[in-house]
Amino acid sequence: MEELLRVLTLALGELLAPATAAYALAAIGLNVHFGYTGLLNVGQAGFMLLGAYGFGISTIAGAPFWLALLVAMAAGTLFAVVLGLPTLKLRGDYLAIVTISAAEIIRMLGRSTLFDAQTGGSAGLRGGDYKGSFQDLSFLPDGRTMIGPLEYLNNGSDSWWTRLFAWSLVVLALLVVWLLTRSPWGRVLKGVREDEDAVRALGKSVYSYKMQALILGGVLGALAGIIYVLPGAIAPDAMGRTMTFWVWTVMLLGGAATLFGPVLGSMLFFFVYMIVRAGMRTDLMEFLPIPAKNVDHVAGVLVGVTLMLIVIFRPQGILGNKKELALDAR
Amino acid sequence: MDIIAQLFAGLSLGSVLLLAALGLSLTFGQMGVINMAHGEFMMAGAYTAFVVQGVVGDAGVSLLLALPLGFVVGGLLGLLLEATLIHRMYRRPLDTLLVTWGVALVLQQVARDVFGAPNVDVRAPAWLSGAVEIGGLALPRTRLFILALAAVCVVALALALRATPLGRRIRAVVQNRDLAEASGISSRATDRVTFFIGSGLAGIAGVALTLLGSIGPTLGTNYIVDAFLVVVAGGIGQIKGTVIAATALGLMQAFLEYSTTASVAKVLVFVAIVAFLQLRPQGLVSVRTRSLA
Repeated sequence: MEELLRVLTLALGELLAPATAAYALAAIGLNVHFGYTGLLNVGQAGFMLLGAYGFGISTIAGAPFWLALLVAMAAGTLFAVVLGLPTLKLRGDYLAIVTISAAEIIRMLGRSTLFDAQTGGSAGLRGGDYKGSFQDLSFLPDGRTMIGPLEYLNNGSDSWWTRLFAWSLVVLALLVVWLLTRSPWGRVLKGVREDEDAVRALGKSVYSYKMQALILGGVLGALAGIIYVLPGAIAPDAMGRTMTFWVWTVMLLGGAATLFGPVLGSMLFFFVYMIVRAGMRTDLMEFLPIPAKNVDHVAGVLVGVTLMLIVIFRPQGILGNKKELALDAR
Repeated sequence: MDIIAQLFAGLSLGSVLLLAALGLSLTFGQMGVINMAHGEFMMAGAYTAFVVQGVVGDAGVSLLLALPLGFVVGGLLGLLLEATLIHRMYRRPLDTLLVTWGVALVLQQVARDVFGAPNVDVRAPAWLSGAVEIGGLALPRTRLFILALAAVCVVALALALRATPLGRRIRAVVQNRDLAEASGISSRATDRVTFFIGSGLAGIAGVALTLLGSIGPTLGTNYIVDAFLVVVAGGIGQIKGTVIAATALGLMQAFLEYSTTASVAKVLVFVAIVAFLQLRPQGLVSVRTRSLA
């Protein structure tokens, strides 16, 4: 019983964890790409890693927090333009292949010895080197605070301050996406997703709209990358293909083309993931033939299976509307 | 810089890429299925070689046995995947991508459970050890063997597509599915066979990879992205494009690697591919089709 409570508390903690917020934000960005515009971006982790590097490297170079944030967003924008220029006019699956390789390229460049001085190679950047300016911004008093069963430091790496900032960004992103998608601009985006030729016939530049969507989602991805590394460190190998597919799972789970889908998806995903991982390690599950060292792999497989099942049986996710994806279920 | 040595390194790399991409040129190029589990089919082929060697013992015999067996294992896995999942989602490239990625994860875990997480080695036969000396240049026999194997696979596939009734059916379905159906061709059956052959080629590629180093559950993930780039650059619908693209990319990688580092070379090759797609969006060689335009 005690163990069950421990697992539940751990899982509850995941609901508010900075990583959950990071995935929610990245999924909101991906939702702009795929849900609203129909772009197949399979390299969201590349945007995140680039954002993390942009933030970390510029902070270490002495930039103040807000400037570093801008650098990360600029990096996301640039990456989106570089990816979009050659591929947005091609077939959709070309964008998929190019983004998946581009994300790998970013990771490889990050871990190569070439930029060792800036990126720290495969070891990455230590959190302590770039977190200072962020943690100095905190207006919370020092000490610990307990809310319900959850207790964290007010300030520091894995703190209430980090959570507050992370979820504020998520709320801000939701607001931006909500305002944009109910504007005429957002209607054109959905038009692009539904029927490019019809939009073209109305005199809109499909290419330009796709590019704008790719940039917006990419910048959100870059910001998500910052949130992801704020409690920990920048490790290029932790932000690879697996991360991209998790973001996809999160988005599809909640429901593509819905406002709150990505947030709901992220919370549910990490809540269940923690229950599975922590649950399999408890004595309750001793009858399972899974050695402890394999638990994470098995949990990873469960993610893959979940993704498969969603795509096959409920492509609209929890909040989505199957009949008309364009109908934004709010 | 020894041009001949780099030339050989490039061709050798190109042949590995070609083996990995040849099956994809069928499943992705011809059928439009983004199969992320293709790399895991290679991994399955590699472990087939490992198992066969454990049973047979003699390295030479086991290699020759493993090649056809790897083809069958890869092909059957592909057939299973096609029959259970992929046939529901033709022309939904994203859905297949996500679903097959899930399959890839499951296959990796199965390999980890059955064979253990650490890498294993497959012994190369004695007649492939050492190198052939040509003009003061040592060419490893394993690399020559893979070059020859890639060539054989290409020729066999080209002959099968061009000169057999099955090949005619495959080409007909690729060029115009509806018309092929109307002419009495079962496109379902043709899809299955195409997928079997494409996945089987991945199995052969996996067996070949055992000659180059030790193998592990994540073997396939190292090759899958490059293989897709080869097919995209080569153009859809024809083997010729894949062969040229694989060779060109292999050579480019080898020569750039010589003058810079491996990762910079990869970046430059990638940039070159993207720039090339800008000029020729349809890839190097492509057939005019209605279904894949």
